[in-house]
Amino acid sequence: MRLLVVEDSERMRTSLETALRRSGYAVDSVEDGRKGLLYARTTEYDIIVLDIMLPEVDGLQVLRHLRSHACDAAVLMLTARDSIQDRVEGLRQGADDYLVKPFALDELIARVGALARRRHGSRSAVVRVDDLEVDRTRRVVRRGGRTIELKPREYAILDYLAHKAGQPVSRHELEEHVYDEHSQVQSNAIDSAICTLRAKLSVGASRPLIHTRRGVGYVLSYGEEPA
Amino acid sequence: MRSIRRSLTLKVLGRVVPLVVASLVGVYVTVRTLVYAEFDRALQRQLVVLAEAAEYVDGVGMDFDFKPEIGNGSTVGISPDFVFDARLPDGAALKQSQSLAGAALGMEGPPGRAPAIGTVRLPDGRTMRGCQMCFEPKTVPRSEHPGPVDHPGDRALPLRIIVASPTDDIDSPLVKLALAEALVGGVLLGAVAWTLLRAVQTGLQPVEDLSRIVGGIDPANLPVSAHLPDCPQELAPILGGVNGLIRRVDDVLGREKRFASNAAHELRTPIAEIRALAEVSQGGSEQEKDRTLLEIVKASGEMQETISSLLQISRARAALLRAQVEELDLSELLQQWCARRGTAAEQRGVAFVVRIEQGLCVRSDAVMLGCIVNNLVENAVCYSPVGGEVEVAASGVLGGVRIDVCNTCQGLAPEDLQRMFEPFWRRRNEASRGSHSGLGLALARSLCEVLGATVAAEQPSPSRVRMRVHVPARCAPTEGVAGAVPEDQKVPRAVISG
Repeated sequence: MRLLVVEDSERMRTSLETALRRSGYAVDSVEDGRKGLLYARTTEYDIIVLDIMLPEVDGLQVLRHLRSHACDAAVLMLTARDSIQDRVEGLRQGADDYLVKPFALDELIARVGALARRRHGSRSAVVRVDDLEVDRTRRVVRRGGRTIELKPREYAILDYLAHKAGQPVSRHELEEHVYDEHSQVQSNAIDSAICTLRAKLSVGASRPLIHTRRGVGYVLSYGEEPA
Repeated sequence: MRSIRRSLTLKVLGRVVPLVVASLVGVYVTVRTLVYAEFDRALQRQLVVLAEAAEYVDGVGMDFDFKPEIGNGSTVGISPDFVFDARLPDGAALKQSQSLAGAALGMEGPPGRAPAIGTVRLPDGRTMRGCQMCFEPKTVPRSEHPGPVDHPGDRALPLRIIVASPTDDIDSPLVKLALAEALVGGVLLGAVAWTLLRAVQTGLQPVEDLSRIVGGIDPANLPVSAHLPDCPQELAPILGGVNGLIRRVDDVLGREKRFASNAAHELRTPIAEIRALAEVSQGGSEQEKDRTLLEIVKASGEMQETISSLLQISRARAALLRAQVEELDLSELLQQWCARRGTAAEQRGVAFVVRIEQGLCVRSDAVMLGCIVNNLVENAVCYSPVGGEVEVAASGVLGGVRIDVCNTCQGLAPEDLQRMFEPFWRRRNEASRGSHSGLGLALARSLCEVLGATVAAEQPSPSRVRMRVHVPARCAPTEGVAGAVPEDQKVPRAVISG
């Protein structure tokens, strides 16, 4: 899941980046509205965490511009202004959620998770595919009741595949949503991670869940024959 | 409560009613005077006719050739019931109306040669209006008057004649006239009062409308402006004043609202930063924790700076700050203050030009002036684009010293000039810059007010903004207010940061 943080306060931006990365998100961050617009229009983000008081172009203008250009990323507005008028204005412009500073990082991450689930049409924090369970709240993966230890990147790939369970996901899409701009992505990084995931998921299980579709990508599903 | 309508109506009625009454009385008195004058003239004419009838027959006696049984034969204008009484100097009657039955007519005042008008008392107690005169009758030869005479005598004697007539014939129409006038007067006064009430009501309608509009203004929900259709020119200043007040209140409320919102924003942001840093550091390495702690200290310092500036502004506004006035070499001080900021400007790539006249002296507070100038210059350096220019100039002007801090600035709207002295004001789309809290200009203005100085923003060209400070030659703080500050509330000067 790839996020964009647009926040002019360096301290806040760094803290958000750190906290969100620790939660398994790929995070890009910029310090003003103009860069925010540029990033949002050139990269497909799942969620944008957008401050309202921004230099160059303010958050509401960024939001208006994104919505008028058919950007469907979920937007979580951040602001120190808490008047009803401010909140209503943000939500009217197309924000999906609103968080007033100061806030607990746990709350921010929970809201980001909720937005991610909503974006992918799931209401539950636990995604189930056959006997596989991906618990997004606790970031725990189980198969057949057995807990599977995954590295953050492996979890991020599985989480994205779980979001799109039953739908093919291309390598490029996985790269876009799992790695941020600071990640050094090697050409076979996705394939290598998928291979590792398959190995970890197949321990003690009879059926493979991650299938390859030639020329398309990968799909997480139950019962599909490997191509 | 006093009513304008009632008061105005009563005042106008108080002037109109006596005028109407006086007019009617005047008409009555004039008519009466004219009628009585005509009556008197008729009496006089009758007297003259009677006098013509008296004669002295030479050597025989006095004769009065007038029929006493008839009262008329008179000239027109007096009642046919008139009476006359002609008497000799010894009081003996020469001739009189039969109705008098020998009784004398009494009239006040001695008779003169000219007819005199007066009140005549009849023997039966009635009164008539009369005319009396004393005259010498004409003498005629005996041959012209062969008959007997009324009073034999050998010489002519002066006669006193009184003619009197009842005034009933003229009093009656005068009474009718008075009654008619009273009736007309009553109707007229009623009509005047009704017309007046209507006129006052119609005339004061705009005042009532204005009163209703102003009274209906909800303080919690101020309208954009009060509008009175067809506002009369007399009420235009009041309406203008009300609208000015509404704008001012709205402006103040807007400023207060913005201040509260901005203050909340500026205080919440560092709190949010500190909280986020603390939460992130929990899962980080020791090195990360140390770095985070340093950032937390910095953020706390910035918040303290903001709160300190806010306190200074509020204390300056509440007149809790008092200037320590002393003789200052402002040229020297300005050079020192500019030298500190010049380096920062060079580091930012901003040209820094200083033009300060020598020998500028004022009596003022050095600490507060330093705070004002430093805030203005620091602001100018911070908000000038790289490659821009900051110019600080000072010169002597009438009554003090003028300090101009001018800097390159793009995209400043004219309305920004008024609002940039509001606490936390920032241009739209411009977020905080480093440790700038957005309180520098607000603090500068508050301190200027303490020193009796002024500061204003100007835009000499679209790409330049100029802060002009006028420092009076002698500091003129508001002593009355400042002097009332209790000792325990006075602010130590150490809190004024420059």
